[in-house]
Amino acid sequence: MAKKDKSGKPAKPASLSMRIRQLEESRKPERHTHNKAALSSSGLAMAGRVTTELVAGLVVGTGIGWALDRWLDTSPLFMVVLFFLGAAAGMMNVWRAVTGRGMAAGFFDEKRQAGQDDPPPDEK
Amino acid sequence: MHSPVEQFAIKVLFALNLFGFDIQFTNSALFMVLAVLVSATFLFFAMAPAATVPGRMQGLAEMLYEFVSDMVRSNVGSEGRPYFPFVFTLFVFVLFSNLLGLIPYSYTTTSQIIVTFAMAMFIFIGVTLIALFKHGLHFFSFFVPAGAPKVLIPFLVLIEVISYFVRPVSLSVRLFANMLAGHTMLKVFGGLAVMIASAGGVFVAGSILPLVAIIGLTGLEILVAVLQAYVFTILTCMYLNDALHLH
Repeated sequence: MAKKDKSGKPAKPASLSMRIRQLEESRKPERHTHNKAALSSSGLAMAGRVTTELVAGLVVGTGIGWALDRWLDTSPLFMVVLFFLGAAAGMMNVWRAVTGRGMAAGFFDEKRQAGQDDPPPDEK
Repeated sequence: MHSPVEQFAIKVLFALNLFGFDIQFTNSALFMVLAVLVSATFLFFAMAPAATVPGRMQGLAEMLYEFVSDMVRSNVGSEGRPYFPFVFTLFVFVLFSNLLGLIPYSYTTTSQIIVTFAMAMFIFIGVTLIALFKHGLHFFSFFVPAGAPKVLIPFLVLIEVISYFVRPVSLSVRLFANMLAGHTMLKVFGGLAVMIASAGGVFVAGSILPLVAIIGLTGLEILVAVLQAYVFTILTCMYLNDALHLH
């Protein structure tokens, strides 16, 4: 404080409150709508994500199908159907990861993205 | 010659019999305990001075804290604050397991699919329960894509449900596969260096090449260890964000 006094007046309360406001603003949680910045920051992380997402989709889809077949004794109906559905789910996840839309469900995001700029109703 | 995958073998250090349960303390369990102990000791002693102007160790601990805190804030928002301790613990545990595994003669816990899958399943179930408690039955609207043509909705819901169940698998496989592949690669190059050197004569000079490669790969492995801990945690944050906000 002593040093500041030398340069003139001590910090005015007005400027102090302004600084506090500025700090608070900068610390305000940015409500993210997409994780583009978070994930595309590292190409290596993204590459790993895309491959596992593709493989995991196939494996989980086929696995669920296999289990359903065993349970209902309909081999290989569900396994074949869910193999393709799993592949579709995997590709959907890849598409989500690459476009940086987070993990939220849905395909037609343009409209929703625009709407998300308004504060969502569940936020206090 | 040792096989490059021999390093992943589980060895029982001692067997316990607690209340009729057969509990075996393995090398994997030992390094899980070590990861907890090392990280707790590090954080405890780094923060012990609690100085206003942090020293080097305290600076490191505070950086770690702020890194995770920023991650939670920017990915989940202010509603994510109650879950910060869990996310921080998760990040530190995965990070220390990965890094401890890079020390020679140690064991990488995260190279076991069952360990990463258990963590991922815990996160998956926990996040689903949070969403169910917070939103009730409204949670299931999560699976209905907005703006899709009505004819396609049953089909799309099916795909969404599958892609939801893919989460724990892709989360665990990513961490496990990266650690497994990296450590196998290190051992392959190490074995190569020994094999070339054992041929004797001029070949000894040739073994320098894989040796240099190991140095580079070790650096890469440190990057992968930190990166995969980061990816594991940030995906947890994203799942948590979905659970808290739906869409």
